[in-house]
Amino acid sequence: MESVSNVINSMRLDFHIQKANYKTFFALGYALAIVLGVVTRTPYVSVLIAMVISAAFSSSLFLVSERNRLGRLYGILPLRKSELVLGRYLYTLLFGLANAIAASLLTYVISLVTGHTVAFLDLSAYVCASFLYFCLFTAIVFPVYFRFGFSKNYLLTNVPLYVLYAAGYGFVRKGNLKDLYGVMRYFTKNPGMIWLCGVGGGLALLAVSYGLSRLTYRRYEQ
Amino acid sequence: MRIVITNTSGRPIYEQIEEQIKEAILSGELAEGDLLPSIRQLARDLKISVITTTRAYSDLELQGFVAVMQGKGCFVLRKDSELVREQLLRRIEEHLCAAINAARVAKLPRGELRRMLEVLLEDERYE
Amino acid sequence: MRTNGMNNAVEIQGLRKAFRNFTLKDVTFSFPQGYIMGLVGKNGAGKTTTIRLLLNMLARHAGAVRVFGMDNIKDEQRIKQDVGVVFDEIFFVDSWRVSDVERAVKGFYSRWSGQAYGKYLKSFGLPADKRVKELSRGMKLKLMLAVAMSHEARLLILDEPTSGLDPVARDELLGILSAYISDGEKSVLFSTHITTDLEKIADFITLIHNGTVFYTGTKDDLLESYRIVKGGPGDLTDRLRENTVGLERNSAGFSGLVAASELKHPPGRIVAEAPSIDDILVRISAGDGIRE
Repeated sequence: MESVSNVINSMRLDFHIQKANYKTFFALGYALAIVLGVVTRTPYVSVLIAMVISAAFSSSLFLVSERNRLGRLYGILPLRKSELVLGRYLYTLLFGLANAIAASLLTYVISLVTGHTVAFLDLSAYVCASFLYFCLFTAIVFPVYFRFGFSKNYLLTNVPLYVLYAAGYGFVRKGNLKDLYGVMRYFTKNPGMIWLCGVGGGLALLAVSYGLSRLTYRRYEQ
Repeated sequence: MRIVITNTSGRPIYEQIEEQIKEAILSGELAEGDLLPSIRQLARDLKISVITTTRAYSDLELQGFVAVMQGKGCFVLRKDSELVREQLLRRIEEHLCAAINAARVAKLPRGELRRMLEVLLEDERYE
Repeated sequence: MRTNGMNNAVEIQGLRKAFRNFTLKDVTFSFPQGYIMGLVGKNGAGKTTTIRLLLNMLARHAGAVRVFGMDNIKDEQRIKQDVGVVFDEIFFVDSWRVSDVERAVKGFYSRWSGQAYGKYLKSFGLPADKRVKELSRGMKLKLMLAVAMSHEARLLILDEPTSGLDPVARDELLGILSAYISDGEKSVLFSTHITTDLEKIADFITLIHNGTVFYTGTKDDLLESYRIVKGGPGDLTDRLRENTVGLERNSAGFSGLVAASELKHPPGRIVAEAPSIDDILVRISAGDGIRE
């Protein structure tokens, strides 16, 4: 039903929608990631910060669309709803992957510069966990934005997630890992599973979310 | 070819176009075989609806002034065709009736009216 | 002028959509390819709703819509390849440059012509590096138009394109549209509440009033079917009053809109003159439909 080239067109369109804000995103987001990575003396934190900010930034697609009445553009273009939705998910996925890679590289650079070493295992854990977070965030907010729009809902969707993040970060910082020893040992023994759970889990979440969005998305009556 | 239409005369635009083209043909300004602007081009130039120009041209065709050839355009027909002559005769009758009505209001006697016509025919050197 | 079933640019039958405060019902009209159809009506009459329904941007409750003979829902993607649309407000990202607009949309259209786009930009005076938010109202309209006309669209749909434009810009637009349909293959559907725009170039008119179609047919027929009658106070017969819409009375006399068929034997010294589309629109809005 969907044409591949139209999905790609939709992704290209999303790229153009987002690109105006790239500079701000990169400047502020990565600056923050670098600063925190250095200050906390754990370079892995950069990855977390970068991915959290990436997740929040990808919602800007909806913000810009709404503010510029792109609903009308979508209504004019030969573009199916399903192609639009799939394109946005794929674009966001690529965006997340690109940022995960960039942030990982950044972490290595920081560790080299500051002298705080980085173990591959720990880095994998951080990368996968934050990628999982990215997918979780996207999986939750996208269907809400597709169905109900952005402007009325972004506070509602974001607040609980930031609370969740803050709690999680505090949890990790305090080193409250005793409850997770069993899990940690498992992952240490099977590092491949970190990737499987992180990346696989993330993709699974996105797939479910995509299904939901596709069923419930309707074009705004503008 | 000069076509000027006005919105304020109260006469439908297609009629105005027809009148002016007829005038141009009868006066010889448009000769046999001359190509009139296409229906769409005329509509565009005068900034009016294509349907209006279509109607004007088909009315002119019905009256025998022009011929519309599919794909080629609208051509002026020979001036002395039967129907054109009929038009001119009708025109003469109209003007004569107008003169008669004016004469009636002025209470001009019949003989006077005839004499007036003869004098004018002399003056205008009508053969 | 009869429109036969073949080669109609747009065919709408029995279109219906109900909102909380407003219902569009029984909307039926069509027009053949190669002509301009004007959709006229005052604000809120249902013109924009009709266009949204035509583009399947709103779901209809009943009725059928065909564009180029194809169903507008089943063949929506195919139809939209051939349709260009202009709205009253711009629908591009305001930070885009004029050149970005092309990059964002051209992939969707199989018959996009960069050459045509460039040509339109030049003749409209749109610099490729200017940002959308820096464009004036008239320039934004021209940008939407350039996009609409650069993929060989056979149907242009314009929804209130001229509101907010000065008369010079409006005249320019009409010139552009006239040129666009001059090959006889392209059609235009133009909705507006500024009737003077359509007075000159529309071939067909559909007049929408309170969600229903008051008239649909050629513009010439519309203008020939009604007359504005004026007379002194004593000239208003009962019969005339019954058949007049939008009657206005003052100390000098009265005026109103009457079907031309009613005026075969005009009473007394009343004056009957040809109406403008505006006259018709204003009178029926005041008078709530013709009473036969």
